Amino acid sequence: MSVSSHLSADGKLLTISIVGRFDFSAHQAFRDAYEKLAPMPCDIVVDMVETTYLDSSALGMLLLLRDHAGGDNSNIVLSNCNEDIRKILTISNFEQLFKI
Amino acid sequence: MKILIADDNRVERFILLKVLEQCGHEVIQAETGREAIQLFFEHRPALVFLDVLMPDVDGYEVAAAISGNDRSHWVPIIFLTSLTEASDLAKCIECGGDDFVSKPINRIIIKAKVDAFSRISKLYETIEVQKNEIEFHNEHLIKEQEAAKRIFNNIAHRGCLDSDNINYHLSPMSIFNGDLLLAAETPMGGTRLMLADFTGHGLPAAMGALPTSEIFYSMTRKGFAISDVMTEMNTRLHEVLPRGIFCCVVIADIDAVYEQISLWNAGLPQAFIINQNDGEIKSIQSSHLPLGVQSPEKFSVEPQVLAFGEKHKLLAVTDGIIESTNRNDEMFGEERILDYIKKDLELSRLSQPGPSQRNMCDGLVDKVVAFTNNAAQGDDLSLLEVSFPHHQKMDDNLLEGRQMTALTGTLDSSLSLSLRGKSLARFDPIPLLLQTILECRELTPHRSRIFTILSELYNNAVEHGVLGLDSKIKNGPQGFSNYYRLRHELLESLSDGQVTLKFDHRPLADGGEIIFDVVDSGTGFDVKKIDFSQGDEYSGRGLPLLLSLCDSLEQLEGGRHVRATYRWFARAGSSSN
Amino acid sequence: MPAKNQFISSPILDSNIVVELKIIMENEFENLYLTYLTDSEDKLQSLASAVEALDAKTTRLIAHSLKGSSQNVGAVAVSANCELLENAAREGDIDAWHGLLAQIENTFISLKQEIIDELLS
Repeated sequence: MSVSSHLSADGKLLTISIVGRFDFSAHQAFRDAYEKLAPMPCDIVVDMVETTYLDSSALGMLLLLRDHAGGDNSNIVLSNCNEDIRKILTISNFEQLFKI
Repeated sequence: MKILIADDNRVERFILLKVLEQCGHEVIQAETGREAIQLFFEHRPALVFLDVLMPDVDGYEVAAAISGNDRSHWVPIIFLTSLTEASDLAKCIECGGDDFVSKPINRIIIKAKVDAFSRISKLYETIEVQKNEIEFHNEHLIKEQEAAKRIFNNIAHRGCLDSDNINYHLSPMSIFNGDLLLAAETPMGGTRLMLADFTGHGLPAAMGALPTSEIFYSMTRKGFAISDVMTEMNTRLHEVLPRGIFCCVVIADIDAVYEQISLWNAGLPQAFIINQNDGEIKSIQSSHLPLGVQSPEKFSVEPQVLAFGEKHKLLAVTDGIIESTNRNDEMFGEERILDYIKKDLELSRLSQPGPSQRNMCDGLVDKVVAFTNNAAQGDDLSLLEVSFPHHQKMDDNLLEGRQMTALTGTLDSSLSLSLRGKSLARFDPIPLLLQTILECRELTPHRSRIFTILSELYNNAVEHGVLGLDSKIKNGPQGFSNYYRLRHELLESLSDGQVTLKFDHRPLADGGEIIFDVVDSGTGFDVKKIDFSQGDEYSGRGLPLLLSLCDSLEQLEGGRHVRATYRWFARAGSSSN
Repeated sequence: MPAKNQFISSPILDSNIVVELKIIMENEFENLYLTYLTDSEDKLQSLASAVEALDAKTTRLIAHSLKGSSQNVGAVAVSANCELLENAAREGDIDAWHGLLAQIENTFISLKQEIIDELLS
């Protein structure tokens, strides 16, 4: 499990990539990826091309990110989700809060 | 430090003794190997110097004897040797020694080694102390959790989970896994169940159980519908829970009278409605964000309504089952649950003609345990299986066993409430009216009947009167969904229309009489024209029910106005026992 | 076999070690050397018996032990000669034993004298 992030040159797009299992062990690393950015970028992409698995604590972490990014005003895309992850996101109806 | 030295050479022993005493250590001397072993266990030194060559028992044997039994108290062993071959020196370590020192005695080297081992010993001691502290705190934590668990169990009391139509499986530590199972009887004689899964573990997950169960039980008792209960719960959890924590739920109302079930799934894996006669399996997918996520303004609930009778069963699970993995890291998954249900249906059809009484719940748990090859896993699952309740519990104080003092409250009163237009869609007046009427404590045993009468009158007025829905729509396979969808659409688009509810409660010598008047703005209908002989399964059930509960039922103003009279008699005897 | 007949005669007493021991032993310095002398005389007696009896094992053990204590007090010559006897006993070289024993006894006499001088000074 590892988390890496990349901020675009103009500071407007933040891409966070998660490799491996996205679970509670990613908690600190995930927060570190966005918490200290000021100002907060307008667009955020969470790239899960190499993410194998998502659990409910990960869902919680995504909610925290969304809250930090402005709640309803945020624009977060969850990209390259595999079938299992899509399933979990669908059951939780997270497409109502994030673009998938 | 207390140091033991074992050397058969007097001169050597003498010198070593002095070197160590000069460093401030307490020294115990042994002349032979045997003596060394005996003195070791008698004095428990912190460090041991052993000469390799001793006449009786040599150094290697002594090392073996004194080390190896008590790993928590490590005592370093330093060999004194005149051997110089590398292999001989290595043997010292192999035989349980921690270091070696060449002869003749060099005081600087001896001092350095003793200091080094002293530091390491202290390190071990620190670790030992910390380990004990951790063990102590851990035990303490476990005791606290046990106490918390007992409290939670009392608060989130089991309601009617022990009814025979309910099978469930909940792990002993379920509260701390965030799993909650609540069941209560509705005033109308049905059963309401809720399976919940809070994210996270431990105390934060368990804390959510408190407001949730309070809301569930109090609102259900008052007769609030699923949508109101869920709205209130979402609002409270949204306020109270930290941002990343939320609650996935499945909530179901089984109406024993109408033989239907209202269901809502927010965030849990699909629940199943199983028809044991024809093998049809309906799945109820999660249709909403879990509770506590959506802000109250955006929150809305639309339960699904389906037929649910003697031949039906409800199965609801949390993701613990889906995510149970076997040794190959495969998850149990939803497919396997479906397979299990199908097989179970087959088996029940082969063995018995009627509805199965088999316990699907236990069967499914066994399947998961077999799959994961891990009995402990079975402990951690939560699931719920519900069949049709066998008897309608229409009366009596279900939850209040205490004797009420005879407060007459609203015994002599009347109340009228009119709901117009949008309020008909937004507000459920029944709980309010019920609560007000029941301020007369003597009416408590009549709660269910009064609730039923009010609900029937009001629902008829809204659905048939104002919205003009024909209950015949409910017939047929898609009947329920169509009917309730239409109801929802018509209500949402309603701009005018009105229902007025009134009750007038008067005391009589032996009890009292309540007259209910319900007037709607619709075109009315003629009771006499309804043909009950048609044997409709789903429609027209309301009126016979009302007729059985009320002392009289009148239609006025062309059917737009229904007046029902309920006569009640006070319980004989006092309430002093 | 020049090694076997090698006669080690000096140094008798290593003065560096003597100085060290003065520091270590403090007021027990005398006691140490007296203990050494008594202990060694006992050992020499036993050693003589063992050699007489052609007992290789005992010869070896006592030679080793005397070597050890001699090393510790700085009796270089004596300890070196003991080592030679120890090796000869291990190798079964019986012929050399008597000669080596004599060497040990001789160097011990010199050693004893030097020690007494040291203690009296």
